[in-house]
Amino acid sequence: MTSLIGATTFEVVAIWSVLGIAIMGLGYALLLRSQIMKKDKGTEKMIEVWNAIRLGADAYLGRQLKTILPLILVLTGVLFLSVYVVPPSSEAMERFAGSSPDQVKLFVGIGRAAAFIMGAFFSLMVGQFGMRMAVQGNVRVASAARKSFSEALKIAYRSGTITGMLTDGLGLFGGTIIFMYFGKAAPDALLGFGFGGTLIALFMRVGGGIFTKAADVGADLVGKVEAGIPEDDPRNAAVIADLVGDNVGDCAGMAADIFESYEVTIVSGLILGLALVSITGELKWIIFPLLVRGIGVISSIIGTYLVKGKKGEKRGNAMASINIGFYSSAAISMVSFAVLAHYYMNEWRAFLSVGVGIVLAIVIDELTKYFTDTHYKPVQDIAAASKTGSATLILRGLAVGFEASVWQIIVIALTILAAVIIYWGWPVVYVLYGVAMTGIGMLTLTGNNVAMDSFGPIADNANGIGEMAGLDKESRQIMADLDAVGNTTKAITKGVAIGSAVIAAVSLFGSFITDVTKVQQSQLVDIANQLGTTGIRISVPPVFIGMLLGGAVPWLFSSLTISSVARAASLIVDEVRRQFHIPGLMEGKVKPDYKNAVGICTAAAQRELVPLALIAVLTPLIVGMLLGVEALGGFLGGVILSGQLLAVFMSTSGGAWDNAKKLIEDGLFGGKGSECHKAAVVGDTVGDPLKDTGGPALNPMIKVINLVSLLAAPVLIMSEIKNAGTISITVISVAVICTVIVIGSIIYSKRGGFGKTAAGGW
Amino acid sequence: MVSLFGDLSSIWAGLISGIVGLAFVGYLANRILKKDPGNEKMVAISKSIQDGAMAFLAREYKSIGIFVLILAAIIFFGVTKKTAFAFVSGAVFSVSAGYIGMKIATKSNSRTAQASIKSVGDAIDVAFPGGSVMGMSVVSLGLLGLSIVYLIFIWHGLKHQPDLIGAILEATQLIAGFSMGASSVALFARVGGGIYTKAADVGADLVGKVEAGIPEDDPRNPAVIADNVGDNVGDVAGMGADLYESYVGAIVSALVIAAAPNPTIDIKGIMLAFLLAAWGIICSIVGVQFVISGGAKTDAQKAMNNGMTVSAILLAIGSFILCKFWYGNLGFFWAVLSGLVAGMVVGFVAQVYTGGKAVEDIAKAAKTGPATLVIQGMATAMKSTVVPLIAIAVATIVAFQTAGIFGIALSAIGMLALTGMTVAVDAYGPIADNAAGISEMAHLGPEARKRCEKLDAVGNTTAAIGKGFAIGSAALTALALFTAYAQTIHLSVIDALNATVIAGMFVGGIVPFVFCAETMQAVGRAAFGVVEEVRRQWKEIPGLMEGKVMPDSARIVDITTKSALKEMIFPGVMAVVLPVLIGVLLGNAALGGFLVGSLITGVPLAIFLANAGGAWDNAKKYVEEGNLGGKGSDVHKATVIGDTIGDPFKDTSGPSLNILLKLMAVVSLVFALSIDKMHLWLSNILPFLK
Repeated sequence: MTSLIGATTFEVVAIWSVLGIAIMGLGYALLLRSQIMKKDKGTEKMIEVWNAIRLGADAYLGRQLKTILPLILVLTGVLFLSVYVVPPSSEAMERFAGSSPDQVKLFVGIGRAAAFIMGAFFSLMVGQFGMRMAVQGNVRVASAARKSFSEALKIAYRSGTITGMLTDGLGLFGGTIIFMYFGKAAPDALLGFGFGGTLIALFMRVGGGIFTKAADVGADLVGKVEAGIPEDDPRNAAVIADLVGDNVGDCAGMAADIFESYEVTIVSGLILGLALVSITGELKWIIFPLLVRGIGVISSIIGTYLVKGKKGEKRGNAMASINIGFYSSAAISMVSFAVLAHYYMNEWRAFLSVGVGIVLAIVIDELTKYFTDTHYKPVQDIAAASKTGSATLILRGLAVGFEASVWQIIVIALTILAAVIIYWGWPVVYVLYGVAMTGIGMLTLTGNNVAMDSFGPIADNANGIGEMAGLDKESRQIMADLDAVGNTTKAITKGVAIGSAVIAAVSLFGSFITDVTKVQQSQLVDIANQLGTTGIRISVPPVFIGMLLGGAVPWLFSSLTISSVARAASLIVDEVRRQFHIPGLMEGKVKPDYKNAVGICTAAAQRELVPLALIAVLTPLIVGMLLGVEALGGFLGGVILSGQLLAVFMSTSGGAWDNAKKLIEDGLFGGKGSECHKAAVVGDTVGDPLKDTGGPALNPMIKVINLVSLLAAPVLIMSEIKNAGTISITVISVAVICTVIVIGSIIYSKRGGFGKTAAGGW
Repeated sequence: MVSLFGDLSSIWAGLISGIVGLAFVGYLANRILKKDPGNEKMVAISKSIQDGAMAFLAREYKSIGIFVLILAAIIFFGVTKKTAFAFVSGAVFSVSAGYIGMKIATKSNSRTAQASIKSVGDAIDVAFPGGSVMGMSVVSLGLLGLSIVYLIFIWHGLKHQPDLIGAILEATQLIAGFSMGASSVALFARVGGGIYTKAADVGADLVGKVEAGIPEDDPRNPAVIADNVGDNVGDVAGMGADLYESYVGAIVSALVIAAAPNPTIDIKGIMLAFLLAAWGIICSIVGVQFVISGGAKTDAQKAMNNGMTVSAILLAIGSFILCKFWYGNLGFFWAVLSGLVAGMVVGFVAQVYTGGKAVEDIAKAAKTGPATLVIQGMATAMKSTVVPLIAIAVATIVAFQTAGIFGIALSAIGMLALTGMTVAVDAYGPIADNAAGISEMAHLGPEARKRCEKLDAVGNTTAAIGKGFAIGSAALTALALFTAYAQTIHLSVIDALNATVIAGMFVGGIVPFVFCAETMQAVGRAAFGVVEEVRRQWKEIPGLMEGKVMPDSARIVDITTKSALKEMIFPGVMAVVLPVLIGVLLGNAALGGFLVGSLITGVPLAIFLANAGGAWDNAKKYVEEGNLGGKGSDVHKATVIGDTIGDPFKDTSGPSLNILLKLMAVVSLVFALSIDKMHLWLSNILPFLK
């Protein structure tokens, strides 16, 4: 292979095997799919409910595709052209030795554009295919629950595993293929790949988050609170939208989010690895992360296959089985990493970094549990605060959220510090490589994580189908048990998603620094002025300002997503209320029109996509153009710092309120129907958009902003050099145009609504 | 021989304008005291509020005294003797300003209530001068104290320094202590005061309105007086001390930056800072007088807006002349102007997001219950953080591009030069609020009560502007102080890629969150004490519920004060100790990162909290005016919940963050060199800290 000059036979074989493993992961997903599709779908009534969910999900996915395709096309063009501003890197010239610079540019441009499309396509696949699979799974889980617990558990978990293996397989496949073709010139294309995945994840997260909570909040407000009918009651017109929403948010959204972290960590791992290769001349720095990932896929396959209940059991411990799978995978990977480190890397540092990642995943897990689980003090305190009403309950929950964000950021800081200690005395780029390896380690068990996460909505949906189709009590109990476990697994993956997003963003940030320095070197910028030398001087006002602005972006973003949930939920309330007045509906004689509610949520979710994506893509460009690359670095720091705090704050508060409500529902302080319960329901509703829309949307946003900056950095540097010191009309006018677009997006998003009815808020 | 008079005439100008400002304060106070304080009952109520407020201040000042003495001792031995002197003076002047302001504010309330029997205009004619006393005391005493201490330092420095430059250099190094003294008082006034005011408010509401079902401001509720005292404590003394701190901090950072050899010491720049501040006092006096004499009686809102505009224009003209013709650098003018404009933008944005359509939307969200109201309020408040941050960013960039590092301090001065006027407009609110309470308790009849409420409504808009302004100025001041810090330790580079700087930034970033969690929970705990005491009084004092016996209000004030001061120990100590700790452990670059991190998360958080609280409060008022079902409806109940959540947001946690940011920056500035030495010493023992 021309791309792998200097590779040993072992390395060549290793890379090919990684590719093989990626394909194997995909094959495993297909195998599981065919297994599940063969299962029984149950009674006619169940199929009817299921069909409604399926159609809703399809409609959402179809509509989303239409909304984002144009933007993808435009960006493909932009990415292709972006290579024409900057001369090709020396690595690219080396890779395509014999071609003229113009030809190389063409190759790189095509490579980048193609990688972008590939990244976007893979991410879409994970989201769309995974969600469709989840929908296929839920009815079969409900059907199996009529017979046995173990069968239901197996189907639910395996349907989720399909998404998990897709995430693993596609992420690894893409990264490896690009690396195999481009070799040392891979970063150019890898960035495109990462950006494609990230952007789609942003869409999936934002769209999914808005959809799911608009439906949930709307359905609850009008159903449980106003009309006093139970959750998932078929008379509620928003109930199907709510069920679809679980898939859209927790399945498609979360899977795309984790896929993106998975992708981005490999991208930044390879970029930083390549930087080390050019220093040391050893290829092992880039081969290692790929091998780690490969091992992770294999151990996920083994671990997930182990998850099943005991045959014929009526009730069993689902969480224990899932944990067995998880810990087996963890053990297998740890041992293999150690072997790899000893025999291949001949050093332990990289292994330690990867190990820190796995430990980090577990610590964050415990931390999330402490702050949001009913067994610990924070949630119990929140529940106790309900005695003096919802106001005190909310205040207490906010305080808990603030506190949780503090601890989590300390954990992340310690993780970064661990990288510093592991690579003590080595240049900064090694430390950054260590951070990237931590990210890779943290996401080793992505297959298991996504499986656990998708398990949640599948069990939830199965439960809903059971309720609506009127299944017998015993099978409903099985599904309720599964559902409860699903809530826990969902909460756990949420913590992992945020943590991995931050680590991924920090490694991207590291790539930003090395990349900018590299371009500056190639442009013969005076060494004293290179970013690697100067660092990001926060004592310089423009840099500080960049940071301050970066700190503001997550607030803006959260505000827009939360408001749009608020608006859409109000429309749902109106719609359901209207349908309650249909004669015969409340008596259960006439069926409500579920489609309308699904339509409202879909439309609400779509209309926010483009404006929010534009804000995420354009703000770093504006800062870069007006304040310079160094200030852009500050901007990124600000985004990461304030974004993570806000994300953890929102998801913890939301989760804690949710569980405080559950605690009361289990009989504490008067149980269901008491004043305390009412107060807790208020808290839960407030928390809904925080934990499922505002918070999660920040993960992809942080990464999109970092990736855009990485991609734009060379272009920004070129224009900075060209205009050295003078004010360029072109740059200013482009910046102004971008600013106008951003402001327009904000106004468009703020005004909200569909015609005049929604303009006034709720 | 250097003349203290000829060469330093502008410092004298500062001193003189401080005295002029004080004379104006005397004139205003005299004017108020001449008015009729009303009937016996009103006087009695007013007196119990005043006694309560003074009791609070007395206890607070005692705690401040201990705190200041301890810190002074540390500075005395750890930094220099003179810095300790400056520190104590800063605290004393701030305390005096707070004392005068509170005294007059609590004397104005019954007089405002009495005047409201006649007309709204007459009531404003008492309430506004009452607030102006606080505003003018803040700036006059601030500038006066600063000028005196600075002159003393220079005078003393000339004895052993070879020339004026040496003396000024030395004096400037010492003067940061003055700013820290101001910060320490502000810490108590804002954090302690903030906890106090909301504990009393929430406690009184919970036990009165919710439990016993008696109306707000009912005299049978022993916590009512404490609640009224709280308004003064939070909005008059707290706001005053907060802006006093910003005001002094802005000037001090200008002095420090100008005195840094960058490349040469800019003595004229130091003089410019004093001249601008002095001129600002004159502008404020004109503005206040304009409001009082020019139509306050007919349309208060318009009169205040006009007064604001007049003083802003005067300031702009004056600073143009000073910068262009006296200093000879037009760039400086743009820096000053950028701060002035940014201050107005920030205030204006706060007004937009806590009034008008934004509030209507939030109130409408209450139709589907408290949850949606809370969500909508949070979303709106999150959005409201963006424009102020951009305004601060633009101001900083403009100032930096036109006037360099010094420009940042100039822009802070530009924003704060009109502090006298701003506080005047703001402090009038609680007086009107108190007057409404007195007319309720003294049964002055619905007409007078309505007038007072109308007055209160005007006050609310201005209060929103004031709060926004307080945050904006805190941010800019903290930034200027941070810049001054970087200059002091000759830290040209704080590299965000350096591991220790990153660590500092992370820790700095979480401090505002910890602070918020702490202060929020403190309110809950302190409020609980109030509830218990009220219940006890109702049970144990016979005849109280029948209205025959007056409750023991003093005891409630005492209990609340005690617990408020106790609750602020942890956050207060944290604010002082953390920067020192970070600096000593990780070095001065990390400390720089720490300060930056605190600003990045703290400023948006503070704006978010203040605006969310303000918006919920006004949404409740909007419904109480009869919209969406009016008082007693389900919508109203939902908005009451929102208001209760917002209470600690806007009056405790949010404002406390202003202090936190400035205090941490100024502590770093004062201890900069000592921290540096200690870090060197420590890293010699523990080499891995290097």
